[in-house]
Amino acid sequence: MKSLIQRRLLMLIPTLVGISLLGFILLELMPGDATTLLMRRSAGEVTPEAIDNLRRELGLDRPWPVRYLRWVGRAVRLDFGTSFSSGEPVRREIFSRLPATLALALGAFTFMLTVTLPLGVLSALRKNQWPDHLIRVGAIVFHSVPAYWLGLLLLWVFALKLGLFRVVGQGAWQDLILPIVTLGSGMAAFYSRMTRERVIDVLEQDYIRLVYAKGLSRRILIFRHVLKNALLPLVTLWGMSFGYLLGGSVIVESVFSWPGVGKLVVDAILNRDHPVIQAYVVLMALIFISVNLIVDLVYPLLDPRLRPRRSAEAMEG
Amino acid sequence: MKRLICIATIVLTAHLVALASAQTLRVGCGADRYSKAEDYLTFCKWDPNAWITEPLVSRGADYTPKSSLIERWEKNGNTYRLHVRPKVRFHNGAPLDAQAIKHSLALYSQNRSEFLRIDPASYRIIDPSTLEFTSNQSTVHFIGLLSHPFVCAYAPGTDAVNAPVGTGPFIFKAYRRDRYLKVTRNEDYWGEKAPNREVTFRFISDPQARAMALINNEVDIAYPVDPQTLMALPPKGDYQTIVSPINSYLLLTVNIHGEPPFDTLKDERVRKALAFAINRKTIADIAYLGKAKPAKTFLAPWFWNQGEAFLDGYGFDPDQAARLLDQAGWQLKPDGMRYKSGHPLKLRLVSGWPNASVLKPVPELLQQMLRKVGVTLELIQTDDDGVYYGNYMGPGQGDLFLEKAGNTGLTPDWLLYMLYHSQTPWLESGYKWSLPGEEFDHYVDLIRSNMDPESVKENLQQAQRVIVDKVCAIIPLLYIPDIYLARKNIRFNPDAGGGYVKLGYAQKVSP
Repeated sequence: MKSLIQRRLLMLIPTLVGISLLGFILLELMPGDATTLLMRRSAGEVTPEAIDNLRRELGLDRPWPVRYLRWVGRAVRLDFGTSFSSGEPVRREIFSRLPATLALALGAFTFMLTVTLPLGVLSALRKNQWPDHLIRVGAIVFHSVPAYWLGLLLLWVFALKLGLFRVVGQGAWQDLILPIVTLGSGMAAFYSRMTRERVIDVLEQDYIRLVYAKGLSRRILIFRHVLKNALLPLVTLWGMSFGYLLGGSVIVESVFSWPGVGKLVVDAILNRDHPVIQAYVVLMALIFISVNLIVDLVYPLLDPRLRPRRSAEAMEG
Repeated sequence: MKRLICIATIVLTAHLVALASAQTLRVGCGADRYSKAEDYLTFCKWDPNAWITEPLVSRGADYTPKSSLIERWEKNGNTYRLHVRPKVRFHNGAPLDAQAIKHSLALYSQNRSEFLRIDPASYRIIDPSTLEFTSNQSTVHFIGLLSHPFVCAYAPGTDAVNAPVGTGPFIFKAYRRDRYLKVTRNEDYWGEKAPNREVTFRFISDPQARAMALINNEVDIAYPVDPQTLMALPPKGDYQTIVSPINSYLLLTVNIHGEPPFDTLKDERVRKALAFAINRKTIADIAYLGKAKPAKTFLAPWFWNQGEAFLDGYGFDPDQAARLLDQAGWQLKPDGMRYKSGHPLKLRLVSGWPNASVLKPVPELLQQMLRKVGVTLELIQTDDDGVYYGNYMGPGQGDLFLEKAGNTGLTPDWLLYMLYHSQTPWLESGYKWSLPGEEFDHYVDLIRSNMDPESVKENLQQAQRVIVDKVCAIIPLLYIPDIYLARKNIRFNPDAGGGYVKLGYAQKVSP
C-alpha cells in the first residue's frame, strides 16, 4: 500500500503538468479573442489602443509558452492569478464556491447509494415480478430525463405547489434536498440497474447456492455474501462518478441558484476567463486523481484476493 | 392582565414584522456579473444598478441629458465646465464638490473601455463647485456620455471596489457573491426618497427559476424575462407583467459584402425580399406575447422625437418578396424552393447577440416564414460570444446575424457609429460585412459634429433611411421593451429601462 501511494504521488506531478499544458493549449485554440470579448461587454467605445492596453494588462500579449511558464511559476505557490471577469483572485473565486459544490456532490453521491442498493437488490430478488418491472421502468425514466427538466419539475411540484421548499436556496440544509435529488437521480437510476445485474449474476453462482443450501438465512446471504461480491466491480465506477458529479453539477447549480464551482466555470468558458478555467482544470484533475487513489486503496480492503502477496506467502511458509 | 400584555406584545410584534417586510423590496435578477476589477468597476452598477452611486447627469426619456449631480454645464469647443449641484452629500457625509467629481472622473478614466477621453492634465478646479476639463472625444454630444451608470460619483478616500460610497438613493449594506446584494434607503437623499427601507437583489441565474421564485412569493420583482419564460407562465397567478417603454431592438444584420458561399445577399433585391417576407407582428405576438412592436428601424420612434414616418420600412408583403426574388433570377420550383443556375436559395442565419437562448424562438419563426417564399434558412444558434464572433460573424461565415441590443449609449450617434460606421472599432468582429457605405458615414459624421436638435434629428433620419430603406444592410424586426414580472401588489414605473431603471422605487401597495 505504501508503495502504491508513493507511485501515485510520483505520477501526480507529471500528470498535473500534462493536464495543465493540455488545458492551456485548448484555451488557445478556442474561437474568439478573450480581450475583444471583454471589451465588447464593457459597454463602452473602444479603440485599438484600448484593446492593446487590455491585452497587455491581462498578459495576453505574450506567446502562450511564456504565459504557461509564468502561470506554472505562480501556480506552485497556489497563486492562480486574477479572474478576467470579476477582478477577484481566482483562488478565492474557486475555494469560496468549492464547499457548495462538494456538499452538492457528496449529498448526491449519498443519495445515489441510498437509492441504488435497496432498489437494485430488491429488483434482483424479485426478478421478473412487478417490483422488478416497476424499478426498471423507473430507472429508464430517471436515466433519460434531463437534469434541467427534472430540477424544474421538482421545483414546480415541491416548492410551488406543495410549498415544502424554497425555489431559491439561502444556504440552509433543506435547500440542498431538491438539488441533491436532481443531481443524484440519473446516476441512481443507472447504478440501480447495474446493481440488479450484478446481484443476479452473483446469485446464480455455485458458491451462493452452497451457502443457501447450508441453511443460512436470506438476510445473511444477501448482506454477507451476495452484496460484497456484487458491488466490488462497482466501487471503481462509483469513484469515477463522484468526479463526474462535481463536474456535472453546473446545470443543477444554475436551476437552483446554488453558488458552486460548476456555474463559475461555465461562465468562465463563455467569457474566456483563462485563469479561472485553467485553475479549474487542475483542481478537477487533482480531485479525480485523489478519488481514484482512494478507490485503489479501499479495493484491497474489500477484496482479500487483492491484498499484498507477502501475507499470503508468509501464511504458506 | 398578564395574558392581555402577552397578546398585545405578540400582535404588536407581528405588526412590526409585517411592516418591516412591507418596506423591504426583494428583486430577483439575473446572474451576478459584477466585476471588482479596477479597470472595469461595475460593482453595484451593472447589472443590476442598485443606485448607490449616481451618474453625473441624468438621462431624459428622450435620451437627452438632464441636470442631476451636475446642475448645469458649458461647452467651449472641446472644453467643458461643469457646475456641481449644491448641498448634495455622499453617504459618509462628505460634500459633493468639484474635487469629488474630478476624483470620480479620474477613477473612471482607468476603465478598460473609456469613452470620455478627458485629458488628465487639463483638469482645473475653478471654485469648490466648478470643474473644467478638455476632452478628446470627437462627438459634440459629450455631456450625454456623463449619464452612463459607469460615469458616477464616488466619495474620495473610500473603497469603491468593495463598499462603494455614493450620493444615490440607496446605501450599500451587504453583499455575498452569487447570492445577494442588500442596500438600505438613504434618508438624506437630495432627490425623491425611495419608498422602500431596504432592497435585496437576489441573483437567480435561471430565468425559469426566477419566474418561479416570483410566483412562490420569494421575490417581488423578477427580471429580465425572456420570451420562453413569458410563454411558459401560467395563465393565472399572483403576478403581473410590467413593460417599459421601448428600450431595445431586434434586427438582422446582413452580410452585404460577403464572399462565396455567403455572397447571396450582395444582391439588394434578395435582401429586400427577405425583409418583405417577414411577418413582424406574428413574431411579436408569439415570442413576446404582443408586448413587442413591429419595427421599421432600430432606434425607437420616441428617440429624439424622430417618429417612424420618415422611413418606408418593410411591411409584411410576401407577394413583393416573390416579385423581387423573381427579378433577382431565383425561380420557384415545384418543390416550393427557389433555384438559380441549379443552386438552391439557401442562407445561413446565425443567432445571436447577446446569446441564442434569449432570442428563441425567433430563428425558428424566421425559418418558417422564409420557407414560404422559397428560401431555405440554415440555423446556427450559439450562446458563446467567442463562437458567434470568432467562427461566424468575424470571418463572415453567415448571411444573416440575429441581434438584440439597446441604444445604451447616450449620444444619438452611439449605435450608428459603433456598429455600422466604417470607422467602427468592431470592424474585425464582423460588422465590416454590413457597412452601408460613405453616404451613411457622412450623415453619422454630421450627427457627431452638430448639436442643433433639428439637425441631429434630420441626420439621424437620413442615416436610417440609408441603412434600412436604401441599402438594406439591416433588417429591423421588433422594438422590444424591458419586461418585468412583479407581484400584483407592486406598483412600478420602468420609464427608463435597462441599467437606468430604479428598481428600488417599486412600491408595495395594500391589496
